[in-house]
Amino acid sequence: MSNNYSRVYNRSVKENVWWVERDSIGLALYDPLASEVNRFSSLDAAYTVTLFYHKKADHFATLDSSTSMATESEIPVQFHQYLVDKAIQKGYETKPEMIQMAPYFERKFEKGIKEGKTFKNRNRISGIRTVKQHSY
Amino acid sequence: MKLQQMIDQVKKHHPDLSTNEIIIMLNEASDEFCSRTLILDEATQFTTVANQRYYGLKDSILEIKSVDLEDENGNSLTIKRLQGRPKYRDLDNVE
Repeated sequence: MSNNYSRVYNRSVKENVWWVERDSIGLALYDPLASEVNRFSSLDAAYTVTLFYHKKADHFATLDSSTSMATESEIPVQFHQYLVDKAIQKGYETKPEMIQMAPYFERKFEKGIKEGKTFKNRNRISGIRTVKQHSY
Repeated sequence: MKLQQMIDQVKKHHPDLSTNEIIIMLNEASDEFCSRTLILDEATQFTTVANQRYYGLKDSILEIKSVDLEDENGNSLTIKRLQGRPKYRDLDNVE
């Protein structure tokens, strides 16, 4: 069996790396052959960085600022009703005499979470479907 | 669904709540929905500053999926994520 020299070689290659620390992203050039103090060096010039991430939807502005009542959430429209359900649930939770209504709306919101995860996992691509032939 | 329609629906159940209170509740619901489903993706670009190591992240970012860095030839390459952080920090120009 031959030795895998490429793995040894890769350990000596300088490469850029990223990490997250204190709500910031750190970027550095990693040199595995340098001493421990000098192993990471900050980038020495202006480079364009592209971040790909999951995000929260932009908030609706409250009435103090210039609110447009025609604003729509960035969340796909089929899930908007679940946001309303959650707000109704929260409203009932502040009223001790009607708190028994809250779990009903909580269940509706949880159904929305489930559907949202399914929608996300599908990546907007439908799964493989097989069409069976039937003879009648 | 427009914001006004959402508020109207909540007000049918809670006529005593102010519009601002309802907007705050809708925003909280939206935050929870996004963080549990990770339904929204986005990409953004910025330019590095020479010898600056850290760059602040927007509050709306929940989870970074990947990072591309432009090389000397102008091609964007995906760079690796470091497990943990460097033992020695460079705290110059911390944002």
